[in-house]
Amino acid sequence: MTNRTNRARGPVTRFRALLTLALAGIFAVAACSSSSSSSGTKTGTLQLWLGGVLTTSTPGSAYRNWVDNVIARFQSKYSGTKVDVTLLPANNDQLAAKVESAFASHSVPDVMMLYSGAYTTVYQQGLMHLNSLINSTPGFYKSFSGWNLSCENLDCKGGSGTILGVPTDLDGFFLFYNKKLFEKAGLAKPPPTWSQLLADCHTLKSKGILPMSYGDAEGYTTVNFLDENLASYITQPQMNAILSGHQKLTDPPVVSALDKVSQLRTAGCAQSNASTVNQLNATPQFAAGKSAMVEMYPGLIPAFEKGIGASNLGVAVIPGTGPLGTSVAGNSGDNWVIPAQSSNPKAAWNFIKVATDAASAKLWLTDVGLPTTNIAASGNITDPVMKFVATDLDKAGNLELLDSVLPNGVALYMYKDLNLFFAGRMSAQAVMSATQTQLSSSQTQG
Amino acid sequence: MTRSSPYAPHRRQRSARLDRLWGVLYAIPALAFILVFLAYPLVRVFGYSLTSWNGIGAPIWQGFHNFGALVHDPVFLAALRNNVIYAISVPIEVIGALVIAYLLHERIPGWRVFRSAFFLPAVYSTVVIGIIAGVILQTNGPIDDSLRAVGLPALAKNWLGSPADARTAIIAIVIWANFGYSVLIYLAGMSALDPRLGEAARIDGAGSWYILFRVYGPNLRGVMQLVLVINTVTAFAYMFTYIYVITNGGPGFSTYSAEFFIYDKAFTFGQLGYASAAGVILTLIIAVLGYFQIRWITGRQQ
Repeated sequence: MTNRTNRARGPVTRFRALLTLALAGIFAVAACSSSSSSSGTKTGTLQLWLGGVLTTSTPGSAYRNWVDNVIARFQSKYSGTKVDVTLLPANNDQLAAKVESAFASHSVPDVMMLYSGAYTTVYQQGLMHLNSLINSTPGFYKSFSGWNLSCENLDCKGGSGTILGVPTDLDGFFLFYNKKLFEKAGLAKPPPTWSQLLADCHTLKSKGILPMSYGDAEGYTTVNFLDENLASYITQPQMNAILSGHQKLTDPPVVSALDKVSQLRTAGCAQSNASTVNQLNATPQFAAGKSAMVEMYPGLIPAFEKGIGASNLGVAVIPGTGPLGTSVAGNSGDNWVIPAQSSNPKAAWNFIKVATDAASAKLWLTDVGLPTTNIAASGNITDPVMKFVATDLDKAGNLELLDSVLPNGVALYMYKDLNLFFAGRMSAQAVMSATQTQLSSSQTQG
Repeated sequence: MTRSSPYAPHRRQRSARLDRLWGVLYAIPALAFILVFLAYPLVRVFGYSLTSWNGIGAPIWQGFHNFGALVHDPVFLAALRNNVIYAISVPIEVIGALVIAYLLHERIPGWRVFRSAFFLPAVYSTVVIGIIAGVILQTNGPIDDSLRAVGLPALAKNWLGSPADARTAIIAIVIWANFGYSVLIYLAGMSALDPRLGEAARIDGAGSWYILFRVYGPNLRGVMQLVLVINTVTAFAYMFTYIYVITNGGPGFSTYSAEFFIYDKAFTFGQLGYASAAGVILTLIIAVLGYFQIRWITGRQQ
């Protein structure tokens, strides 16, 4: 009996021992992983996430040269700090998903570049207020322009508002054209009016030239045309009235501004697969000299000049179709922010100061190609194309870009409908009606 | 030696109690995993569904408001409708894979090549499948080039450009990707059948289709039900990667599935409360579907 019992219990006892060991192992692994995760950012390491225009700063690119230069200058000034760089996705949906989940899981970087406006304020509960840091750096606030879209309620109140980020550049959208292809088609100058733009498309097509690179899989190209065309229909007070609910996106001026954009498809300006090609996959066509025009932000100027030659690159304001005449819409495009849970806020602020100082801003102009908000550096522009866009974007009274100031979720929603709109599957009225519904309910949905 | 101990019953009871205790202890790891990774998230998701929460600040209680809003949300309703449309792939998989498995089982000429060809997509990751599909379906891609090469240029088009075309393309890709698994399951089922069944039917003069549907079919009912359940669950709960990689929900919102909607609302739009409510609804739908399917299967088996 005894022996049998022992024999029977032998494997069970061993199994229990194994189980105990396994459980101990699981707890040990869990303990190790929890201790390693709780350590978060390594001491002496600055976690840098690049959103906004710097999402495309892949190694070897001009953008990355700028980033590397800033890091080198930061490290020489504040020795002992390593900088880990993470590129955020260029697609706004994917970028939002990455940043949103980082804030939700408290796995945030120390410092981050984000698009300005509602692309920043949507995270304001998780962002450090920079007022005390800015106030402790004499003359800092006054060294920059374009602050408003980096503050709570998109209003910095001359520095007394809640500041969430430091603006780095001015952004808007322009019509870039290939002078050689225009000459080949017998066109002497860029189209000054919308009807001339459509006529030029026809002329270019008849010469076997693709008139315009138009990548709209995400709806971005259409929203850029809408942003700019709106400046010929509404003023900033009217835009503010839309945002505050006193006017609607379904009002005739907004719908008309969008409706006209579809003519770029019906007139054959855009290539046939425009609705399924990503914006950043379409622009290389222009840089390779395979299309005559492209709508883009100034950040692509260095790439365009490299691709088709600086002397070959022309720029014009996108013609407006509204009663206010052709005008430019624009605002600050990107800004530096510090998450409230940054483990190195002091180093993060030091990094921002280096990234926005006059030396970095000067390089920003040449490497990144966007007009800088650093007032001291903005006088150094020599490139004629850059000078043109900087002058236009610097004009007081520019209408802010619609998708920069709409609540982020509403803008992301609108892009998708704009994609359908340009594909000819949704009317301008329907797009704006759906967007207005989202805008109205954005405060009530969880 | 044969005398029984007065304490023996107590010892047996104590031993039984000890065994029960050990049983509970053995179950603890599995229970812990279920509680931590299934029950707790389910409860939390339901809790969040009753709030307005952007994932950053504190959730704000708002009762069943999100559920009310979802019922009137055209994108969510369209996403659910798309799930039903994607379920068109289910009967095609169930019947088509059965026929292919039968042909392979009968060792038609080149069956080894066909078997590999059908199973190949099943070993690729879904992301790879999606990227391959995106390349094949792009305007002026391999499909369009092939159509032009065979003198059918009029049929070349933007295969992901319209909602209907994009949905059809997704269904076709899902069928292609999952076909191998279904065929494999059927082949396993057929190999377990008594080969004399088919031989006897053939001696009696039965044709191939008769043997498949009248002889093998009834004997493979359990396997068919398994393939049915797997593909139904796929159509409702495993479409995310295909949609994310191939269309990202576009054109517009037209290829959204309920899963993609939940992801999008939670992590793109930052509406975690709203997304949680959608998750609760999808869980309920799948639970009800699963319940009836399992009841149907077990009922048939009885």
